[in-house]
Amino acid sequence: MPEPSIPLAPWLSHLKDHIPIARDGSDPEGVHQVRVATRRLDAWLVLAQIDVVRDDLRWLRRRASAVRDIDVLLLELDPPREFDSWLRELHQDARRELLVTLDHPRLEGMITALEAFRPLSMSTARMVLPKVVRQVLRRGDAVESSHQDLQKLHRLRRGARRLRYCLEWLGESAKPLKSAQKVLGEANDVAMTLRYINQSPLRDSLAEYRKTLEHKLVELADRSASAWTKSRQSIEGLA
Amino acid sequence: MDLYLVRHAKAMPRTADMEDALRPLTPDGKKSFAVAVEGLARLGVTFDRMYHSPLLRAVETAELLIPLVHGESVSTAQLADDPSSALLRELSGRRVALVGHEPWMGELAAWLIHDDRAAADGFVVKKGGVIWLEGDPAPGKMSLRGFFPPKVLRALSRNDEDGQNS
Repeated sequence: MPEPSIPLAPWLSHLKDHIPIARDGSDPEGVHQVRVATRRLDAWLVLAQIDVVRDDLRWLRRRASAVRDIDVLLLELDPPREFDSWLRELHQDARRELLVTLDHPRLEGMITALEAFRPLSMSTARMVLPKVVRQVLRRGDAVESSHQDLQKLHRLRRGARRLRYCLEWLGESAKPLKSAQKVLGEANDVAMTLRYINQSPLRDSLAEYRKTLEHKLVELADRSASAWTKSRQSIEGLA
Repeated sequence: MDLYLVRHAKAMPRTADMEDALRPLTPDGKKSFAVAVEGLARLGVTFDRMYHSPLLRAVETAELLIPLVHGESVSTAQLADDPSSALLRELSGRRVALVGHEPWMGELAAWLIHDDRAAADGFVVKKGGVIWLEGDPAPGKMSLRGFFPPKVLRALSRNDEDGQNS
């Protein structure tokens, strides 16, 4: 009986299917799904212990994120009107850069390279998983010792997300991580909004809004740390 | 710029049932090139950027070079084709590796050294071999600094193990 394997083809097709939608730009889901696909493909490469091509995915993801982060701000976080128009200008610049990226020969190279990878053996992937788990546990330890440190929360959020994707590639439940990820994600959205406000020329006129968000962030950081403590137990056994 | 042109290591032969882009390195090709990479490391070679062709044999060769790369690695379809001005415009970094195929690696060397692609016959790189150029990455603007057949790189690695390089 052949050894079970994990092809990356489904998420590579997902990426390719959403590139034209991202290029068109009328449906924000296109850029969102491009970004999701780059993360899932990166998790596959982590399990396959392949480093090349990860930088290409990161390059595409960075450009997609510049658009998607503003989409999230505009569509889901309901910013004040004066901030909204500044964000729309920034969004246009980010979209222009994304379009250059989508027409770049590096993208064609990246897709061709990904298409060439053979399915990953399940046993190899299972051997790598504990390393990914240990990395997340270390990041969690760092958060537990200083849970108002946004940098540490950010690293934990990214590590937990990568672990979830790795578990999903292996066909395992990532449910215990989801609640921690949800609140970590909310904290990140608020932190991201604050970053944009601080870059904005409207920074001073948005002082009240900023203060509200800063309070919210303190509360979300506390909630993130508690949610992580609950999730932690469920993954310790995988290390 | 120090530019290292690397030809992919030994790959599975072409067959009717295997697409050319999907040909992997042979187990022996991987093993030999890993030793050649040690030879490059012993020469103190590192890269701040690596560009590679997206064909599997070049991707697998690039993966073996990763320990020497202290910057970004970039897939580019331009290394699976005739060398072009677009490829040269794309290059950035101070110590750069290009991982690709023959006859294009030899053509690129001849173009960069002599501004004459027809001189490529003199620069045929063996599988897993490396050409080291220095200068501006523009036609006729680079000079040859080294030409390393894979055997020499492997020997450098072995010499050091025997303590003969110390």
